[in-house]
Amino acid sequence: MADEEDKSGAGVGKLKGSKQTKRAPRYFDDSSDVTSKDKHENEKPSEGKSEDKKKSGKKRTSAPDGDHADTKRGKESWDSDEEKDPFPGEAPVKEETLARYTRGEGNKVKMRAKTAGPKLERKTMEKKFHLAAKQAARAELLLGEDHGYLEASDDEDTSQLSQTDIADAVDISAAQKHFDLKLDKFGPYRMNYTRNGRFLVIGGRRGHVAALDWMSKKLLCEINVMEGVHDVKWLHVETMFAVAQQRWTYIYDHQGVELHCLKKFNNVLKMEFLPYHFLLATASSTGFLQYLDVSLGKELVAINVKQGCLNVMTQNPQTAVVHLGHANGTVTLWSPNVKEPLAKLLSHVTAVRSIAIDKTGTYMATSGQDRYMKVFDIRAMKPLQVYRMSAGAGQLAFSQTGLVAAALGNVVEVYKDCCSNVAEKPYLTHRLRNNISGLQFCPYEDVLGVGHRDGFTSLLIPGAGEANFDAFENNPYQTKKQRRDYEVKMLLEKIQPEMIGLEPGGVGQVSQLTAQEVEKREQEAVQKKFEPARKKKGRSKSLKTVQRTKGVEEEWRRMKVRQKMREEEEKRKKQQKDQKKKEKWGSALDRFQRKDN
Amino acid sequence: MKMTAQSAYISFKVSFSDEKFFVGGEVLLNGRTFCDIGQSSAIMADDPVRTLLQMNADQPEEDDSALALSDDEVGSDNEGQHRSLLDAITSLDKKSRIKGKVIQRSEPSLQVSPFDISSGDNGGSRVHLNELVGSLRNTNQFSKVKTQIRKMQGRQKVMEAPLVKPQAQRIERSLAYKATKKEVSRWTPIVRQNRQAAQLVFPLQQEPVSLPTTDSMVKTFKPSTDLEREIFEVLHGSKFAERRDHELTEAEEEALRAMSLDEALSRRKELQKMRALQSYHAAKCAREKKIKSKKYHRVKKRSRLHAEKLAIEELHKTNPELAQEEIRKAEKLHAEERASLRHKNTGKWARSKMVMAKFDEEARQAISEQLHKSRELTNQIRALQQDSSSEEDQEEEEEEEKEEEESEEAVAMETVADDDKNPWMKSALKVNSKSDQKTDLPVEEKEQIKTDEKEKQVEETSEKKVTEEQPQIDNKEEQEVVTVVSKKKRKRNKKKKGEGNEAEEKADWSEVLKGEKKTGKKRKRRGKKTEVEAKKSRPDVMERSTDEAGEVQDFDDDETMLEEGLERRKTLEEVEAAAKTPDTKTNSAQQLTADKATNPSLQKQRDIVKEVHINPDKFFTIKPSKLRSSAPTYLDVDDNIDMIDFDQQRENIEEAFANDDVVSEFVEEKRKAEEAGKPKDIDLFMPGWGNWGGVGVKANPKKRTRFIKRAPPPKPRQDWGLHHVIINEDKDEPMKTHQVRHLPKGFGSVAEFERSIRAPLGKDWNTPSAVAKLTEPKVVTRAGTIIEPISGEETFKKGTGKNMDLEGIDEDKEGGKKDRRNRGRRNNKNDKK
Repeated sequence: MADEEDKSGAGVGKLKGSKQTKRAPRYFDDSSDVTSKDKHENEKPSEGKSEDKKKSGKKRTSAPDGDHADTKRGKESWDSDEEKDPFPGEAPVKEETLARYTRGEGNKVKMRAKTAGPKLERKTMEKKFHLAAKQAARAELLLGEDHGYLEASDDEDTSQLSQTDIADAVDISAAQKHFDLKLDKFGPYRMNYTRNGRFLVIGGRRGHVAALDWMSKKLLCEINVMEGVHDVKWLHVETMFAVAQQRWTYIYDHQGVELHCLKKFNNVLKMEFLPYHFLLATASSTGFLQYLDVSLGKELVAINVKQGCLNVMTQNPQTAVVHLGHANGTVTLWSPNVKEPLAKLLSHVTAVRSIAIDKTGTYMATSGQDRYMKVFDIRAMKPLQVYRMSAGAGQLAFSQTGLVAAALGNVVEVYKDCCSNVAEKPYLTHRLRNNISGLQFCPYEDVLGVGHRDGFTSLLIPGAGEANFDAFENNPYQTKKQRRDYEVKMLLEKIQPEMIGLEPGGVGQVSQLTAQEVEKREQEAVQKKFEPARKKKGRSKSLKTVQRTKGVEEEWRRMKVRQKMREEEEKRKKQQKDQKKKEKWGSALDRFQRKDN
Repeated sequence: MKMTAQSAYISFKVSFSDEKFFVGGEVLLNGRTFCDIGQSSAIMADDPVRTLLQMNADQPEEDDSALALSDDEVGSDNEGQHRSLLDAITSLDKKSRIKGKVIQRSEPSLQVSPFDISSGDNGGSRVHLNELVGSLRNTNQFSKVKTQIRKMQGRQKVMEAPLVKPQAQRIERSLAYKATKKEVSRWTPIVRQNRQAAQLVFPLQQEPVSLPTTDSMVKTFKPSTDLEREIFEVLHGSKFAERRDHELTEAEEEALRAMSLDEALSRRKELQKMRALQSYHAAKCAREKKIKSKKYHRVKKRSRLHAEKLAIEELHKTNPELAQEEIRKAEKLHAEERASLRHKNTGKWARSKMVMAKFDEEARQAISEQLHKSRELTNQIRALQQDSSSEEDQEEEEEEEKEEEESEEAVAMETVADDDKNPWMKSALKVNSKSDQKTDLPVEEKEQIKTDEKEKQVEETSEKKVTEEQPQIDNKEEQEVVTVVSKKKRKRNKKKKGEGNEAEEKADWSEVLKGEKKTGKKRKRRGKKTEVEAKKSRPDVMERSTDEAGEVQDFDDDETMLEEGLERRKTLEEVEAAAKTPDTKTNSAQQLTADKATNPSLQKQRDIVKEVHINPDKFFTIKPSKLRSSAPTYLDVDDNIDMIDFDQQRENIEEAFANDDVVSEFVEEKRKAEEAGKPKDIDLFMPGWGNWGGVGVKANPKKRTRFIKRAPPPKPRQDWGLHHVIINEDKDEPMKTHQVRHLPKGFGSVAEFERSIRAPLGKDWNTPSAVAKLTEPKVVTRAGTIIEPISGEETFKKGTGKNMDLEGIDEDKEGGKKDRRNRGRRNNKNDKK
């Protein structure tokens, strides 16, 4: 009820603005969205006119009173124009935008005099931080694109829209992104997109593995591994992907050539790739969580989770912490450095079926057998929302814009704004013939990939993809050369696995000694013994050395005693001095004493 | 009588009692020295003489009389003389006694005068100035000498004697220190400035580099080549050339001069107008050129062609010859077109478009347009009229096609919907089609209710089994949903009605509904202003009311619960208000009664729920809200893969026996973790130490406790207050290798340090200029430049006079250095020689 009121004022058309295609479509750049094009055409001339009016108006005002010299020797008039800046000073920055880029509260440095030193340095750094934040806020101007959303008019609901409706409404290139791969022979499919969203790898339970450029539908490779496939995952670039097969894990290149067979990684059910650390994390049915350093080709660590079969796994993209879901309703957080879970979180009373974490590392959505979906603030480990669903979601996925997709048996539902607010109904739904086994939003596209028993389906979810991409980070239009450079750069900037921790800024913290450590050190210092240097020609005989050590140690002891005595003496003197002072002046509090006493 | 005299070199005081013996007081210069001084510098010699003169002047006459007396009595009587002398002496003695003056001397004995001045012990040998020049007083002559002596006495400033070497050196040193300090201290602001500077670029003294402006270039330009010279001459030599500081050219001015004033004015105006028009036109052309819209250009072209056609027609009538020419022109164009490959689909653009055409409608259109054009041009020239009409026709055709397509799509959609047999889609379509029939419940909601009921049934059975452990009972849930909704509405009401009427804030459900209606009415009122808006708002309101009804039905028993809760609060006003909205009220009331009648057991259940609700559940604090998710046609069974089968089985089992121990297990685990994290006491007790030991001997517990080292109190745990979380408190050892061990110098606290490195500096997070600023080095040295040491001359160039003085010192010093160097060189040379 409340929802209707919200929307009563807003929605008019079915696809408002159809913003989902605002981003430049990949291949067919000229073929921009039909609806938006019309809009543009309608708008543009009018804009031109208004500008024209302004311009002509200016001239008209200048022409009559200004002599023809004004137009003839434009330079002087130009100069005078430049002098009068209609918007003096720097352009203002919005507080909210600035707040987005200021990273926490700064140090407030108080300085008495202007002296050089660490204080001044800190002060200047603070200023620079502020400047950097301001500039970053300004640079938001360049992020012109906006991921749109579907907005329903009054009498309809976005969840009623079918994929065909959406595909019909959008432009041809966007419509092509909705497709269905019918592969009903090879069982339920797992799937994975590359980080830039260009390539897709699908792996059927019955051994069918295919990698493809999904937008052009160009097949990179298609193989049958003749073995069960549990999971597929791209590595750092689109030339390599890992396949978790029935026995071992294999790595293939984009042409389907087997590169490695990782026999240490056996019975793997789920995989996650940590791109900045070059780590492939695997969870096996034997209950082991293993990390493979892809850049070195070595197993980093194998952790026995001691929770039985591990079939629920995801990663926190912000901190590279791996989250595992267990049959006893807990979610455990792991880093490769610690053999125990960093944290344990009881989220359901029944088995956890799926976990998903948004890209900012803020929200974690979990679903359990108990038909609940819960959203946690993973930084504070506090629950935010609890939803009762019609079925326990077998798969969950977060989009870049914060949409949550849940696979309820054979139904895909996408929820909008369900983390910080209470969502009451799905944003979009889609019903498939069969059970869903894989779910992932395609990065930088308004597409949701769904792997199921009959193959693979690509769904259009307007407003799912990030509209502005950073080409230095992930470039959907990457060329071969760029990819090579990128790989090198990534390797150079590889983060060591030791830096994985619950807090993303853990490296910047000061590791202070605990009380126990301090004690230990002191003990070590006490136990330090004098070791006499060897001397030549019979001077290092045992008696001599013993004598020497004794002498030295005696001296040490004396030194200590002397120091202690000195300290005590100082203390005593100080006390005396204080005493004297007190006797002379009395206590500072005496002034408050009553005079008559 | 007392006299004081200050010597020039050695100062000491003498008080005189007897004039007879010390006539004229102490003379400090002996004759020789006086002469010496007199010879060397008259000024210096002046002073003591004058003092003497003064002293003489001050002396009473007694002196002289006494002297005279003595002189007289020599000859007269020895006895008398002797007596008088004695008298005099006694009188003197008396006087002195009366006066009680004691001769006081202070004689610095250590100081040795370079002029051999004795300290006064050898009084006999001393020559007093008085004695030398005392007689001057009595004469009227020698006025010049007198004045000189007086002057000398008045000044009294005489060069001090050179000090002892160490003392002199000390003074010298202190002076030198002062001077150096002064000289050095003028650098302090510069040094401070440099230290504080965010960045120093060496060499520090840089000449400002600037690009030459066009003006400066023009000023300094000299034509070198012939061509340049010629152009220069044309530009500068002719009278038509523009001049820098004049409005008009020479020629224009001449013309003006030649014209009368009116003429000139009008001409000038005309010129102005012409220029203005020209500029307008230019601006217009530029703007039009920029317009990218194809449609615009198409329309423009068409209008142009039309105009041309009209013009030709006109020409036909008026000037057939010209018309013929025009037609010939068109023919030529036609021939050229036929000869060339233009507008055929062979060009680069066309080919690229062809590639696109498969997917892109616009590209297709563009290609067809081009082909059409070529056809048009290559075909026999038709009358231009037909052309335009054909274009229009084509457009019309296109439109028709579009319509057809749309209808096809619609058909397709329907078929799809039929194919899917999706009740959802059907309902959606129905809703679309029957927008007027809003009174019926949407199919979806009906379904929803059904599913809800099913759920309820299932859960009610389960509730009876486990009521306490499972707080998420359906009823409660729904209640919560409703409360959430009502809260929201209240908030909204607040916003709309303002905070003034607080009574309405406490409004119950019906009140809320009423409020809603009110707002609806308001909207209606607003809507009356414009018909379009009204059209929009009315169905809106309708829908809302129906929806409300639907919801009421949906949560019917919750409604009753709500009623129960609110009856307590009801006031008279609210009752009245409720009476005003009879529809919903009665509706809910009916339901209430119905509910009570049908299942009284419900209330009991509710009570249980309430109990659970009161019991603070630590673990799942958030109240679950319901999502209107669609139920899957569940197909979770997978026969083929063992793995999944196994999982599925286990999951099914677990689902069946919703694990009650999970929570208690977790609590136990957390307790253990907390226990393990606590620092432990250390027991240092040794049996037999300070006590009897052996079998059967029990140690005194008091003594025992004395040996236990108490552990410090445990730190607060990170997961304190989070009952559903266990955070591992053990330090992450590998991470430590990358962390800072000790708080860096200059930071007050850890937080301060961590705050100081909170912001990233890299280019991934900052704009390029910000990165440059954040990472700018403290010192920059320009490659290929000589970095001279900082010099006073340059830094204090613009200084004041004070600085200039100091500069002098500087120069002196430098001079000294040079000397030293030179000396060294000389020495070397000497050595060589």
